[in-house]
Amino acid sequence: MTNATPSPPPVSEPVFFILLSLVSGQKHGYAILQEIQVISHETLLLSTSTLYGALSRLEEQGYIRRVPTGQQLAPGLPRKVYELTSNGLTLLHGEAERLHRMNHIAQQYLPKASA
Amino acid sequence: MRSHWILSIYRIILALFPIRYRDEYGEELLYAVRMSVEQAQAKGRLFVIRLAWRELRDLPGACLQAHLSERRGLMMKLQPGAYLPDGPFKFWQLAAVFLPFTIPMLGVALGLSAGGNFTNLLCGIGVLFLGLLFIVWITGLVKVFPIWTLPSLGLILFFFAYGLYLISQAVTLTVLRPIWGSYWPDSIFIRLLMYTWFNLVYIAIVALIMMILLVLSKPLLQLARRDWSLLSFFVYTLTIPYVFMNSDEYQGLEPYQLISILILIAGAVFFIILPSRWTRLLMLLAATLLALTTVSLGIYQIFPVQEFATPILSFRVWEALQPVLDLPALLIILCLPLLVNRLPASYGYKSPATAA
Repeated sequence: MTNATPSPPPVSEPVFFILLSLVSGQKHGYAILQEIQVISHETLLLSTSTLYGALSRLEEQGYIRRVPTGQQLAPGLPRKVYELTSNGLTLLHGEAERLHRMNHIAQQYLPKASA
Repeated sequence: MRSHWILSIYRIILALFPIRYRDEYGEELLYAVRMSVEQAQAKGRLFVIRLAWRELRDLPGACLQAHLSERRGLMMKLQPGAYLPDGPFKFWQLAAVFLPFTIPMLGVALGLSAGGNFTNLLCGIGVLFLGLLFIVWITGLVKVFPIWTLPSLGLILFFFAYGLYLISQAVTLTVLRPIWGSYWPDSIFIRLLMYTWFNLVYIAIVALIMMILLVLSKPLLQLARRDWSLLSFFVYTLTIPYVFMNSDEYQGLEPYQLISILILIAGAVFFIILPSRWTRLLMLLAATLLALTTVSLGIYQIFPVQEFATPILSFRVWEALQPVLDLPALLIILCLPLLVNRLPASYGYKSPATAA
């Protein structure tokens, strides 16, 4: 069986939550960490290096972009603030859809397996 | 205030990351860790230990990934055409880019190795390459100037421009002939003036053809607006015939012509690798200058052993100067695409930058 339109690639859990954390608006790195803690009910605690590695890749792939805000981390060092792009939102929708589909399938088969 | 031990260790491990990554994210990482440490300290010692474990555990992997990503990025940037619109080039596109340089180079090299005796095999190779050039021409015209066809299409531009130039030269010389009694004036000064005039005529012809092309072909105009240096690349191959013109009668000039073509190839290589448009143009200018100067030096060197050689130094110098005299026109033509940005923005394609 082949799909007419290619579905977006599955994303890892950290990437999913990073994108999700940006749905509510622009955020800098630490604010993203905080938001992920809240929306994942503290089930996902990302390290800063994992976060920035993922942010760098997502920015390169065009799923998020940096926005100039005028905020500074230190004098002469602008703070990096990120926002979701339309491609990022599409990826997030695709992933949510995929998870929903998988959940639906699992719901169908799990009771039989446990019976 | 004394920095927390997690931050101290973090800072040490951060030094192992690539410099560019550190410059980009170092301060942000340290800020985020500092804030996390403060938050964990407020919650208790156990939270600090959990944070330390999480942060320090992930650092080596992130460091490795940053290095791999840096390396991958570098390799991507070194790919031919990576900085050009629609780049990098595929292998066959790259081969097409160098085709107009390869044909004369092979011709000279094979001619040298065969000692001037072209066998059927050598003729076959020549026909094959000319066939490939013809295919690139057709593709370039049908697909409307893809970047990889530009150098080959530059040769067509040459045939048109040089044809018109020869007609204008013949007309001018025929008109002026009665004035000095011979086809070319004897005075070096007037000859130089003539060369300047013909150079200007040639520049005007090429500029006119380029303008007509830009007016008629919107895809070419769009391409030029995206990157004007591509038009310089288009006219770069006008130099190739000049390596061979004016020197048909010379014996032993082939090694110099071969070096000239290699210099032109080097210019093209730099063009497709370098990121800045200005440096790319500079490379094309330098290669053109060096290539024709090499031919000039070659003529000067081999002149005494030619059948028609005379002991008059000024004649030898004049003959050697011929390729260099064409240089100003070729260099100005390479710079003409700079004027593309002077075209009214409302005409044809409006770049996003201009629109903004």
